[in-house]
Amino acid sequence: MVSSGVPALDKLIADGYPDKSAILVVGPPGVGKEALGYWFTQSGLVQGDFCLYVTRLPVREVLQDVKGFGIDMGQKVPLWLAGEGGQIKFMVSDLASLSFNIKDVLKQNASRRIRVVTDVLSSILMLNESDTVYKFLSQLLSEVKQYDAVVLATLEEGMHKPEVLAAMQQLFDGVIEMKLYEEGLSVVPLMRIRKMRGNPPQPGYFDFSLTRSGLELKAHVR
Amino acid sequence: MSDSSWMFDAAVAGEFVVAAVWLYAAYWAFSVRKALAGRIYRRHALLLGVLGVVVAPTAFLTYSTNQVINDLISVYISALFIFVFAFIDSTVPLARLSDPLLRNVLGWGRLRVVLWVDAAAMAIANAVPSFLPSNSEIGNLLSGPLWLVFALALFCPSGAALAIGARHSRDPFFKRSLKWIALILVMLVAIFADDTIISSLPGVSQYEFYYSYYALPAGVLAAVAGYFLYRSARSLAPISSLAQSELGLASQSSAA
Repeated sequence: MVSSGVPALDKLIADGYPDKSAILVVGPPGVGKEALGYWFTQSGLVQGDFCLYVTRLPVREVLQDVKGFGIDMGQKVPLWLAGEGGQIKFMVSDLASLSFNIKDVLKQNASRRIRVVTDVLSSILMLNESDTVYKFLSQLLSEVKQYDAVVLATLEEGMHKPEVLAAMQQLFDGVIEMKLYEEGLSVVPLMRIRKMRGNPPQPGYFDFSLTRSGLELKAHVR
Repeated sequence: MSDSSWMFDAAVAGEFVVAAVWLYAAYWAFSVRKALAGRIYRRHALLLGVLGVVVAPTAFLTYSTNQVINDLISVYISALFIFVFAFIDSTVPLARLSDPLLRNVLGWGRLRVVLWVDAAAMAIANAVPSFLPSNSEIGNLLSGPLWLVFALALFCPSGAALAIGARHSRDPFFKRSLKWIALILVMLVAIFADDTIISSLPGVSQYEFYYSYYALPAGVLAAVAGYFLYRSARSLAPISSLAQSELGLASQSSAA
């Protein structure tokens, strides 16, 4: 098991994400999906894992966001495959180079445990045919799983057709869903584990709050 | 002219209704903000909420014979302009974030700095004449042509940046939220047109302007605009309702 970096989440999914797995975090824009990626990366850096962060954003904007969640990555930093400011340049329209770069980085760090975090899936889906992305991702994930690696990807809810969303969820071993629900006169952020390899299905929702001290989860009671 | 007391009461009650609609919209914006975690999204929801709070008291704004009150109203209106620009400033980065190509519209990062200076100048130009002797040359220049230049320099490029950003965005919720904002602007234009037409009617006193049936169209338009703000706040993010079946499953899981 690979710790998610969030003790409350680890407890929920039996000590962390499964080894050699791909996890998808789905939720509306702004709900805090990326924070799961930040904690996952931080936890990996602390444990000495090799971390690759693939983002369409400039590195400084991601770091600003990381700081906003009260996360300190310390002296250690992940390898950035980013739109701007990273060691490797990310271009959203060039799937072949993205695939090549990720595989190359994995090969170079094959002896270590690897964590890959990415926020580019929605952008890729918006700019390419969904069939092309499906094939690309399915191939990439199967190659990544040949290493001791865990991939965590975020996907925007509401920006893609439901059938595309469903197809994407099929490719992943675990799906964490974050949503905003209306309850009376308030809006409540809820989370549920839609599926997680090696775990029984958990249909229950959890209230979650993202604070500077981490993620707090409690079973949702109306 | 109808200046009967019931019309006065209705106009005052209408002011409360308008303020209540705007405050209710603000409440929803703050609720959405509380549920969100992303920095830029939270800021946008906050400004949407503050827009409701700031506009709500304007339902009670009537020019009085007291100079101090009129000066305060001028300062308040200056603040409103600044606020509208702050809202645009929070919206353009959000549009960029939901653009898969992450395009920087009109070099917004730098342009916004210049526009903030312009916004400050415009606010000063709007507020200063209130503190100068009436009909002073500087006052007339500031509140007339100079103010217009500052306003055009501020809202033309920022409005263009917002429109281009909205076109680039692929977030349907954000776009829907912006469409409601655009409808608010349409309502505001209608209110100004209504005010202009009524003011130009012969024999309409200040009292009648605010407390007779002349006030009703503007009141209705302002309430509708408040409703549009409510729809905009609710459209910021997809808000679902928990189905009964899901709730059943949730409570079983919680019990376990």
